[in-house]
Amino acid sequence: MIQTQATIVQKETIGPAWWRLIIAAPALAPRPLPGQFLLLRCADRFTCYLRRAIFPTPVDDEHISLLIRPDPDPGLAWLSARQPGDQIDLIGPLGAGFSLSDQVRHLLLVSDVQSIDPLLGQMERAIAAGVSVTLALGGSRASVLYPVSALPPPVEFHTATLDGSTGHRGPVTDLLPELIPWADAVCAVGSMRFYRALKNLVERIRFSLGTGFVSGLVTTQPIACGVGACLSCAVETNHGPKLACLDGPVFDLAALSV
Amino acid sequence: MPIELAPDHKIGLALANPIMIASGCGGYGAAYQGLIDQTVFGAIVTNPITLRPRRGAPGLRLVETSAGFVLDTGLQNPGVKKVIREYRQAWSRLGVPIIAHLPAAEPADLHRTARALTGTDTIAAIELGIPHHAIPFDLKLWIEAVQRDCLLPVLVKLPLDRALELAEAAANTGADILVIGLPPLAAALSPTGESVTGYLYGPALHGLALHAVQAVKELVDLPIIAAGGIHTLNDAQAFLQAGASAVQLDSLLFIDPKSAVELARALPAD
Repeated sequence: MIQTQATIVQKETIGPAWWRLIIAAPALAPRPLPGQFLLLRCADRFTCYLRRAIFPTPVDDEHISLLIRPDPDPGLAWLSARQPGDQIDLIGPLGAGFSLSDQVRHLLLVSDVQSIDPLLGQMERAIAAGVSVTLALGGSRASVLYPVSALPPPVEFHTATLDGSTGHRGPVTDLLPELIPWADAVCAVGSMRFYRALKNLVERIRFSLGTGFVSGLVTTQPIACGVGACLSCAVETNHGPKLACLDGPVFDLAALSV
Repeated sequence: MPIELAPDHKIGLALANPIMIASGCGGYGAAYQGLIDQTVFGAIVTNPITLRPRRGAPGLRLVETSAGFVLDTGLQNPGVKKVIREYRQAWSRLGVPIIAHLPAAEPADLHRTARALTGTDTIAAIELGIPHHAIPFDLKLWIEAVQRDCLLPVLVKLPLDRALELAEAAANTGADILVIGLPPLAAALSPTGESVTGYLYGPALHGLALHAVQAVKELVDLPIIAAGGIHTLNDAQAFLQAGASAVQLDSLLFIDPKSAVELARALPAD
């Protein structure tokens, strides 16, 4: 991990409200793995004090892309106003990301938090490895969901919105009873409540939740330092409190105390 | 020439640089090792260490505020035995003095924790954390407990909003150095409406701490280490000008570790 100034080289809109920033960060080493994160300074002074955890997707050896969603957070708003040529101060790569075993042929990705940036890298890695990928995407309403038109063509997707404005009306977990039997592995990002529901579903459908079947990325606790110093990002597990920044943010769902 | 922070102490506490890392901001000493050159700092104070493991605060621990944050870790730590097992090798290899932070506890527990840490021969000093509700008589019990089987210098970290009323008690009961101080308690609501009560961090602390340092300097004749909200070289120099012998960096480490290093490089011991 390093702390470095990186330059925005390109800014693309995705759908009506999302941005993708392409950033030249040749010094960033090692290359971030899917599920690992960067801590970005999102202010010029102290107004937006803490760094924001952002999940990058590698583009090539020197570039990464960052997905910026519509969000009331002032730090993310600051970030979405940056333009090509602007510099961003980042620390990373941090944390333990998703793994992808050779045994996996059918990978199910699930997000109930609108954002899918932590899953994009895993999606691309799986596609490159010839794995079939299905994405279940949930959110409150259509306008906050990641635009599915921007997904790589090989990805099969299902959407659910609480207000029914697109896809199934209801929580994303409603989609899963049909998808879980198909999957060899599940990578998810969501709230603790979502993980509780997911654990119950898997136990019902597969009779037990074994280690290695579901990896859940936990973003419920703010990460201040990223290196295990501040202890702000504690996550309860069956092995006592762990830190999202060092032991996670990806945890085996079987070990999470949900 | 190193700075001697405990000139009246048999062993003393010599720092090569007046800039230290405060407890809670550098883990057990090695957290930032892979990111920055930690050897530029005069010393690193560890995260709180208690006799027995503490699971820490359940639920949300941190809420960001305007230009700062409120943090309550609930003193999460693996307990002194495990801390020693996991970190004693790192402590002897880091190339920077390690000061162990012990939050006030039952005197018998404090005594055993301090004794265990002294026994590792890798600790330069003990920093005793005084809680906000302390009365002067408590300080006597706690400091005596730490010193009973521990010959290392003892830093006493006072709550900065109560430093003035507790400073004399600390000085009269054997503190070698005063640290001013522990951040004030504050509360904040998260975006989802959860309330967190804990220590307040951020640039606003600097003025509070500077005032406390100035006031205590008038009253007590002990070396003072100032801590609270340092973000610039000017912030650090203001403390030194007010009579502090050294300073501790806190949340600057989280938001800009590189500038923490630059700050230490700009202020070598003279």
